[in-house]
Amino acid sequence: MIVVGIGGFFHDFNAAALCLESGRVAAAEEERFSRRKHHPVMGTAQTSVDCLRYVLDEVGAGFGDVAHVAFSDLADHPLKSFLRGLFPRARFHDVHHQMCHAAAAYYSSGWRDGAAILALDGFGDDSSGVLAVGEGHRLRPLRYVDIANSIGLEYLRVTYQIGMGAFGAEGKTQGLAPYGTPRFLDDYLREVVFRDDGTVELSDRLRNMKGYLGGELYLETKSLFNDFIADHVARRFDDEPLEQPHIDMAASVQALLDRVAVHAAGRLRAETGADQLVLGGGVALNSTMNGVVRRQAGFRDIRPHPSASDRGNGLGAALYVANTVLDQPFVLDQPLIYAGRRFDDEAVEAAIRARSLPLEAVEDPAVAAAALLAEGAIIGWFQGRSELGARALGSRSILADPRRAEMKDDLNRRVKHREWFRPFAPAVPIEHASIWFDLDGPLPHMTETVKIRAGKGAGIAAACHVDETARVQTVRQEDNPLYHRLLQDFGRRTGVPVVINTSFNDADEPIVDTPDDALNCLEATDLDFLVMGRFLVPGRRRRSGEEQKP
Amino acid sequence: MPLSKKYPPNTEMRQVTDAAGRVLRYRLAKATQGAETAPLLVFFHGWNSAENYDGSWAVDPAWHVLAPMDRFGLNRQGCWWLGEKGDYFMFGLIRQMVEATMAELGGGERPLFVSGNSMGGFGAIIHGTSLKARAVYANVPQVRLQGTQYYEIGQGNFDLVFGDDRLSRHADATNFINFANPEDNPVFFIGHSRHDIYRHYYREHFLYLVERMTQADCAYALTVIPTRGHHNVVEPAGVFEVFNRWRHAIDFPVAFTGERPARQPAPPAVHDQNDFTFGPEGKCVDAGQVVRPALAGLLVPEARVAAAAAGCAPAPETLRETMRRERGTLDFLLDRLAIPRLRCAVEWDASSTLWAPGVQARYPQADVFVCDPSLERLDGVRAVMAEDDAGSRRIFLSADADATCFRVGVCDLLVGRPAFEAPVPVGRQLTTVLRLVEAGGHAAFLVGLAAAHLALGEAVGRILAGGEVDPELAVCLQQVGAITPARAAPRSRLRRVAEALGLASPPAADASAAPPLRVLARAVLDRSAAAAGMAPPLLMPLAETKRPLHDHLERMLAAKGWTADRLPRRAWAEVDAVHERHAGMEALPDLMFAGFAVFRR
Repeated sequence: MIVVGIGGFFHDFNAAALCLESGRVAAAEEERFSRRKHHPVMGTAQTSVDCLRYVLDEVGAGFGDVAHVAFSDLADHPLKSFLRGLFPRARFHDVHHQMCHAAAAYYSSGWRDGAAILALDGFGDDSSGVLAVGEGHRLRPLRYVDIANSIGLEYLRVTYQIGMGAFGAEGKTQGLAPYGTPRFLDDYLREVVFRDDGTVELSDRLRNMKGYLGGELYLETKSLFNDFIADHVARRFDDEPLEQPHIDMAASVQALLDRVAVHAAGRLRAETGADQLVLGGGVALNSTMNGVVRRQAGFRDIRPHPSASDRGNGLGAALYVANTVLDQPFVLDQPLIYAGRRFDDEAVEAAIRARSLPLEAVEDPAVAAAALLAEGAIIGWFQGRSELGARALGSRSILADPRRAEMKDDLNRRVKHREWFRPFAPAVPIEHASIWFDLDGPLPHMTETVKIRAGKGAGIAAACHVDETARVQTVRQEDNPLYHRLLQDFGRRTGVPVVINTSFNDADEPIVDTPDDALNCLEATDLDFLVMGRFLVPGRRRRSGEEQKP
Repeated sequence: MPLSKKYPPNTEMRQVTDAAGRVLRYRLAKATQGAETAPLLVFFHGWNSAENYDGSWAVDPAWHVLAPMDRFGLNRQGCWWLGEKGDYFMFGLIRQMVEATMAELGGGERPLFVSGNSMGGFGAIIHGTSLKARAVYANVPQVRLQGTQYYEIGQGNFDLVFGDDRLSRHADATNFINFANPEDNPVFFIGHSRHDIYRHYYREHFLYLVERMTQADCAYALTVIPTRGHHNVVEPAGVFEVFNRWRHAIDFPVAFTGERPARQPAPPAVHDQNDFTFGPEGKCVDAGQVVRPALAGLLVPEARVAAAAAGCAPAPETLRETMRRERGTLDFLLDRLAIPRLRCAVEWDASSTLWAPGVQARYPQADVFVCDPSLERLDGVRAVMAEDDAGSRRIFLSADADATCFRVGVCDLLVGRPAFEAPVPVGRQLTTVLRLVEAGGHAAFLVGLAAAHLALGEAVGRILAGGEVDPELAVCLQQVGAITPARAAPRSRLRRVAEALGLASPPAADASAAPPLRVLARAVLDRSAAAAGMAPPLLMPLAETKRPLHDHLERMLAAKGWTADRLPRRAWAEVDAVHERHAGMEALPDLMFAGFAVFRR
């Protein structure tokens, strides 16, 4: 029996397919096919559905084979009519948006014996989160968080007010926060009631969207304004100076978010008695918050879902229907990560030759890449299946040497074209992780921010944030042997087994997926090299002779 | 709904500062083709979109483009391009920006155009008129910022803009229109959705603007799409094309040389007893061209749209409500614009949307084109339209994404001032294209009436032009002209028409009964055609139009050097399906086809 889940009816349109008999599972995001970042579909009546075709191919099914289709929210959209028309024999289910977040997180956690579940979101289905509990393969919502009390939206409002951008730019605010002092936190706390049930109630000054004229669109920037924020910090546009009040506001809202999450998680723990917690919803992409929850909420272990945002809601919907509606246990041992497309060397070589670019076949891409990195090169790393979710985890990554502090600015200037204050994440082999970072176990998905060990920050200066933290990725040999070998080899050459790993894309672009995407990015940026499959392709500057191969 | 701002490439950030230290930042994208003489277009963005989140501006290599950023007002979300607290400093800043840019670009007189959507539409109107732009494109513009429901929604914003200046003249964009010297006004292109998300928006802003532009004798073009929403009718990138397309109407090519022809003053109108307006000589002098400004109502039953989307039949009550509303629209356009008659060419089904590029050429004398497709899924047709668009750049229809053509109808009409001089440049006058997308009974009925009415008018016009007046026909004309849905019950009107035409008396059991509309229409058309010395118009059941339609499509394709297989097989199938679906219809297809037949001659 094939169960399909479809999510992202506002943005990040995505799909998943489960084959209940074989246990095969696939998930994909449309943006990787359409090349439209976040692939918004809100209000549209049709969309490309390459992600659907892909996941069905992956489980060996066609549209006519699908028995159940799960949509990741309750509301009816024109798009649902279109999608229903694709499945001639399916039964359709509308699943609550927040329960999709919860299901994606819980059923991907690998915990089969139950856990507390906290999903915090911007909004969806008239709510902004859910506190729930996983009991075996069943999910039970305890309570939903009112949409008016959305901490995710408040974070977005601050992001907008201080000129970081709109939806999708919250990570900038998170990156900026450590540069500031949370001096508005006390004011914030006077506007928030922490309820005993784990939720919060925002005051009218926080809810008030004064001047609200829009409203029909989910992502209306017009709704991103309230009295509290306006009273504390003047609206900034991105070409205007970033001043201390803006930075302090970022720090304040981050501190507020941490408090709200710890409060919710703590009450959830008390209510359920669970000692393990899964985190979902778009807010759970905030790695700082996740780190704070791990340290302060009292759980033995936590597992934030790597595709916590709506990107993972197709999978969540499918898993919810399979487990809770159809009562067919279908639990993943670990989150789906390397679930995207793979291109063999033949396809890679053809793509390179089609552009008449010089290429060099290398014996071991990991060793070649490590050598280049050790000599200061910035490389595009394209290997194996692409990743699912917002993070590049060693398949479609840009890699660089973290030892020189200037590398951060180099990366921003030459390749990523983003703000000076945004940190770059490090990747480290699991064997060395605890030497460099203050952590107890593996963190394979860049979902948490941790402290860098005392005295180690200078050694990885370009990956060390201003507060001596990092959103680290630990890499196990069994998960990604090639990538693991690269890190180990880099360590042998330099004494520092840590590499900067950032997503392989230019600003405002989805992560690359195909060889052509990678070559486009190579040509649009100032990457030194692209290591794609077993081929090495020099970037523009290297080809022009401006810089010789190290 | 962009998720991140996208600035067009090759733009430079600039700013101007006024004496009070207020800064207006703007982006300038210089033309890369023909920069010496390229016109300058100013885009005014919508509310709270200074960062171009609404994609409110675009670039074109043949245009210099300015995009100022309104960072004033409540929480810097925009001050409607006016100012704050009753100090309307934006006029100075905008003028400063334009003058600085003109000076930098150099050259001689450079035509200025403006565009904007929503709040930017307001800005486009007030600054376009103030700066004496050649043309303005305003998408869903606000027009009145006080005294409307829109004011109540955004009161906090407007209170900051106007301060103590209550009842400000600046709150009404039409106060910037030059009523004393209409020729000093730009040509206005206004895009609107029929059902905005804001209540009363259509009436309080769009219809009000139309009325005021008419009073001011402005040249304007209206595009109304039968959809719900507050969004662009023409995307920013399409504005260049609109201006280019109507360049003859806005003296665009002439402007490049710095010359602009003097406009002819409008002669006094003469009203005859039939309430028709004729030229100074009492004759309708058209010489094969248009003689009157015109309009069209747009009749799209929203309930049917919703019902179709929901896959169920519409509730009769809702349909009736829709009918009433749409009749009101038609009535407004007929009465308030003082348009006594329309000339109507009627296309009758989906495939007519394919003909848009040729419609005007084939019916140069028509004021209104009515298409009556009852379309469902027309992916193939849409594709052809897209190809046609690229080829001829004259298709006005942009299908929405769901390809459910209930929602795809586009009314694109250009209404010019009355002009009775001949010859007059086409486009400076009226060219009205209405595409009505709906085969629902009530819409069909209304349009059918219009078709009959206008076909008759056309015949009479010919007679008058030739100095011949048929008294009997004049009576008919008067009667038929009185048939506007809101004025009286249609059946009683029809009965009077029947009587005027000397048709058989209705059954005694129902004194108010009238012959079927199609019978009336046939009689009217026969009579008018005969009076005009024409053969009786060709009437045929809809099903019989299939072959001619196919022939026409093939000719159209052949004219482009294409073979029939250029039209996807699915499109042909859809065309056939439309015919089959409507084969049982009676009155409307007959009437519509009758109108078509008249013009075909």
